[in-house]
Amino acid sequence: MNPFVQIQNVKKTFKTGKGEYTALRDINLSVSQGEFVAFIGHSGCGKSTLLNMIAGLYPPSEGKVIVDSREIKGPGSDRAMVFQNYALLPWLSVSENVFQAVDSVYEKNMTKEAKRELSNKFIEMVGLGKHKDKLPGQLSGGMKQRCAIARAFATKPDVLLLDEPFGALDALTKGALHDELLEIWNESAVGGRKQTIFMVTHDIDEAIYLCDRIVVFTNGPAATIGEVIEVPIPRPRDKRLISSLTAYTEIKARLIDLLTVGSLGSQKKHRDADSKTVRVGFMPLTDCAPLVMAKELELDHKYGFKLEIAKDSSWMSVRDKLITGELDAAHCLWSLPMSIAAGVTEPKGTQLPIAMTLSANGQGITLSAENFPIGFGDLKALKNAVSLLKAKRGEPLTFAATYAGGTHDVWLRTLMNAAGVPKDDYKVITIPPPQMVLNLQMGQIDGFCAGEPWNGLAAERGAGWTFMASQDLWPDHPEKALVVSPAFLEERRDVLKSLMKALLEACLWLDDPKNLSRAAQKLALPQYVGASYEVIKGRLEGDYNLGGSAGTKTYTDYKTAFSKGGAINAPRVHYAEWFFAQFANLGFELPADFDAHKAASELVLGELYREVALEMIEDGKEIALVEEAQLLSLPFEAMHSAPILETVR
Amino acid sequence: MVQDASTALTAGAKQKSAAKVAKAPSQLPAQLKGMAINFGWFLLSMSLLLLIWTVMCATFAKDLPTPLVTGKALFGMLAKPWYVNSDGTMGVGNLVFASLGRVFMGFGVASLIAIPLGIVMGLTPWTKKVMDPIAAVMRPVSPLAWFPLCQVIFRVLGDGTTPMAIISTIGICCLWPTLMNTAFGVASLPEDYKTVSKVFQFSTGRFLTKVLLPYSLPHILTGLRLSLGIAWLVIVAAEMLSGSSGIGFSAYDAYNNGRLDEMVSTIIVIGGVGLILDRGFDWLQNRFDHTKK
Repeated sequence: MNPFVQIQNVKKTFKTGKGEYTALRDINLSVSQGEFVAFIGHSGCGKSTLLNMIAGLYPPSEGKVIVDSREIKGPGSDRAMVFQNYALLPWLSVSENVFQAVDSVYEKNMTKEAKRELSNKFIEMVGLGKHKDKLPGQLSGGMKQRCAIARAFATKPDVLLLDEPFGALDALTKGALHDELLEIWNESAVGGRKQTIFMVTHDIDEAIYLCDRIVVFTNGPAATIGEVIEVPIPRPRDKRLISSLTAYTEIKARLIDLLTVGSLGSQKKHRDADSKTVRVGFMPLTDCAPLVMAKELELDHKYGFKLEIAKDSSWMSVRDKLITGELDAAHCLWSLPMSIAAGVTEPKGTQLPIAMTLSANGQGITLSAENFPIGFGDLKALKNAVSLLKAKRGEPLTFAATYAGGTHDVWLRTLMNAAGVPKDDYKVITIPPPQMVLNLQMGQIDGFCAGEPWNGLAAERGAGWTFMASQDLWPDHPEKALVVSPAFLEERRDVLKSLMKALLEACLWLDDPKNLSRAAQKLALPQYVGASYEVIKGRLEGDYNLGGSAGTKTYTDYKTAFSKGGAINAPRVHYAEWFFAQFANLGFELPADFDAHKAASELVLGELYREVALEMIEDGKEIALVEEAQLLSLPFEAMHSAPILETVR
Repeated sequence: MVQDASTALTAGAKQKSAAKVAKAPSQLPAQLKGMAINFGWFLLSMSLLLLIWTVMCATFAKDLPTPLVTGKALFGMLAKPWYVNSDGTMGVGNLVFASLGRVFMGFGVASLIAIPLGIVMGLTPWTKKVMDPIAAVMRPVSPLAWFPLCQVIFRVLGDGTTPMAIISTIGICCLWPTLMNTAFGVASLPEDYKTVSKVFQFSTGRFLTKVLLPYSLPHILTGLRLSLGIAWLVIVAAEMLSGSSGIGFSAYDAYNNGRLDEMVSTIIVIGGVGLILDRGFDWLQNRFDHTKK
C-alpha cells in the first residue's frame, strides 16, 4: 500500500449567478503508484471536475490533492492529460504536436535531437510513424486520439489523466485503442515504475477491462464517492475470455445496479423484507478480521444467509450508509453511535444500535519520530515535549484521529489528559486512517491515533513510532462493534441474528493463535486491508516493532482480541455510559438534559446478543456470558476515566 | 488491425496519385475550359457595366464621357505612367505609388497598434469592456470629419505637414476592423487549447507563437484585409480634401479642370488598385490560413 496519489477531504464549489453550487464533497481516495483507476458515474456527478483538480487546473475549495508526497498547486509536468476531443493543435503536424509538448516539458534538460527522438519513438509506438507529417485535419478520430496519447506519454508523466478518451470513437476503434493503451502503459514504464492512470468513462466494459479499481460516484450535485470496486482480475487480460469470468459478471452486475438504477440509495431494492443478503461495510483495518474471516470461511452459508462485504474509505461514509440503509451493518468504531447520539457529530440524535462487540485492544498512538525523542509510555516526557514544541512553533500541535468522538479520538484525548498536557497545546483533526501515515511523513501532523496496520506501517517506514498501544491505557477496552442500520434491525431481525452467529464463530476462530497467520494472509489481500503480511501478522500476534528507537515490545495477555471465549463480544450498556461520561470529561458539549443511561440502554442491544449467544451455546459452542449486573455501574456524575488512570499510574 | 488500416490508406493514396499522373495530359483541356468559362463570366459582367454606362450617357447623363472617350484617356494615362513635370504633375504610376506610400504608412501604424491591443483585449475581458464604448463612438465617424481634426492636431504638434494629417486620418479610420477582428479571434480561442497549454506547461512565448497566433491569424488577416480596404478609400477622400498630390487628388483636379474623361479613368485606376490589394490579401490568407488548407 504505497499511496502515490491522495485525495483528502476534497470539496469543490463553484460560484454561479444563483449562489454557490457544490459539485463534489467529502472526497477521500488513496491510489497506489502504478494503479489504473476509473471514475464512473452519471453526467454531472463531478468526475471530470475531480480529474481536472488532480491535473491542477483548478484548486479544491477545501481539502487537498497530494501527488508523490507533495500537495499540488497547479498543473505540472508530472501529470499529463488526454482529452475527449483530442485537443490537437490543428496547424501543427502529428510530429510537431508531440514535439511541442516534449520540448515544453523538457526545455533545456534535453538536446533538441534527443527530444525529436523521444517524440518519434512514441509516435512509432502508437503506429502513426507513416503519418507523422500529416495535419490533424487529415487524420481519422482513432488516429487523432493515438496522437494525443503519444503526446501525453512522451512527456513521461507520473500520472496520466484520461477524460473520456474513447468516448468519441466507434466501438471497433475503441477496442483496438484499449489494447494499444495497455501496451504503451507497459512499455513506457520508467525504471519499473508504471504510470498511475485515472480515467473518466461511461463505458462499464471498458472500465472493467482496463482498470484495477473502479470509483463510482453518486449523482450530483454535491456528489461524493459512492463505492470503490476492486477488479481483482489478473493481467494480462484477454478481451475475448474476460467476459466469461465470474468476477467480471459480478462486477458488471454491481456497476449496472449502481448506475442504471439511478441513485445509490436504491440498493435496498435487492434486500427487501425476505432477502437473505446482508451488506456489511468495513474499513481496511486489521480488526475487520471477523468480517473478512466470516466471508472467507463461508460462515454465511453455514448460517443461511449471503454476506456481501463492502470496503469503505472513511467512518463518515460508513455512518451515512448505515443511516440510509445502503449498508445493513458495519464494522464500526464502538463509540461512533455514542458520538452521534450525544450530538458530538452529525446527524445529531440519530440512533445507530450496537449488536455486538467485534474486537478489543489493538489501536495505537503513533508520534513523529524526530519531534518526540522520548521513552515508551513516558507521560511526563510527552507533556514536556509537547509544550516545548508548542513554544518553538508558537502554535498548537496537530494530532489526527479517525472520527470526532470515535474511539481513537477518545484514546488520544484521554492520554493527553492523563499526561497533563494542556488543551491549548494541541488540536485534533479528522483524517481517514489510510492517509495518516503520509500526513505524518509530510509533517502535516505530529502524531495520530488509529488502528492497525497504520501504526505498524508508520513504524516500518520510519515515519513515526508507537508511543503506546490502546491496551496500555485500558486493557481489553471495546474497540470495534457491529453497528446495525435501524431498518435492518426492524425488518430482518432473524437475518441479523444469523449474521451475528457467523461473526461470533469467526471471532472464536480468531481466538486460536494457530489461525492468526492464515487470517493475516487473507487480510493482506488488496481487496481487504492490502498491507504487508508481516506487518499485519506481527501486531496481530502481539509482537510490536515499535519503530524509532523504541525497540520492540511483546504483548501477551492484552493484544488485539476478538472474543476471548465470548467475554469480549457481549455489548455492554456500561461501556456506552462510560463513553458518554468521557465525552463530558474531555470537554465535548452534550445536550443540557442528556440522559446517558437511557441513551446507552437504547443503543446497546444486550438482549439480542444474549439470545444469539444462548442459541449458539445450545448448538455446542462455548461462550462465556457476562452478566451486565456484575460490572461496575457508576452513576453518570461519578464516572471519571477510572480504568485508564489506574492502569497508567 | 492498425497496421492494416494504415497500409490500406497509403496503398489507396498511391493508386490515386498514379491515376492523377496518368491522367495529367488529358486534364489540361478541362482546366483551360474552366478558366475560359470564368473569363466568360467576367466579360459578361463587364459588358453589362459598359452597356449601362453607354445608356446613361445617351439618356440622362449627357455630360458623362462615354466608355470610348474614357477608354482613350485611360490608355493615354497608362501609356506614360512615370513622368514627373516641373509643375508637380506626375504620371499615373507615380501618383499611385505616392498614395500607396501614405496608405501603407497609416495602415502600418494602425496595425502595429491594433494587433497587440486586440490581443490584449481578447485575453483580458476588462480591457475589452473599456475599449468597446471607445470603439463604438469612434468607428462610425467619417474620415472627412477626422481629417480637419488631424490637421489641427498636427499643426499644433509640429510643422503642420499635411501628409502627417493624412496618415493619421488613415490610421484612425482603418484601426477598427483589425482591432475588433483580432480581439474576437483571440477571445474565441477554444478552451481546450488553453488547457493543453496549461497541462503541458507551455511558456508564454510558446503559447503565443504556437497556439494563440496561429489560431488567431485567420481573424487577424481578415481584419487587416478590411482595414486596408478602408485605408485605400480614405486616402482618396483625404487627398481630395487636402489638395496635396496623389491619385485621389488628381481625380479631383481633373474634375476641376473639366477633364471628366481623365477623372473617370482615374476612378477606374483607383478601383483597379483596390482590387489588386484585395486579391493580394486573398493570396496571403490562403497561404497562411490553416483552415483553408
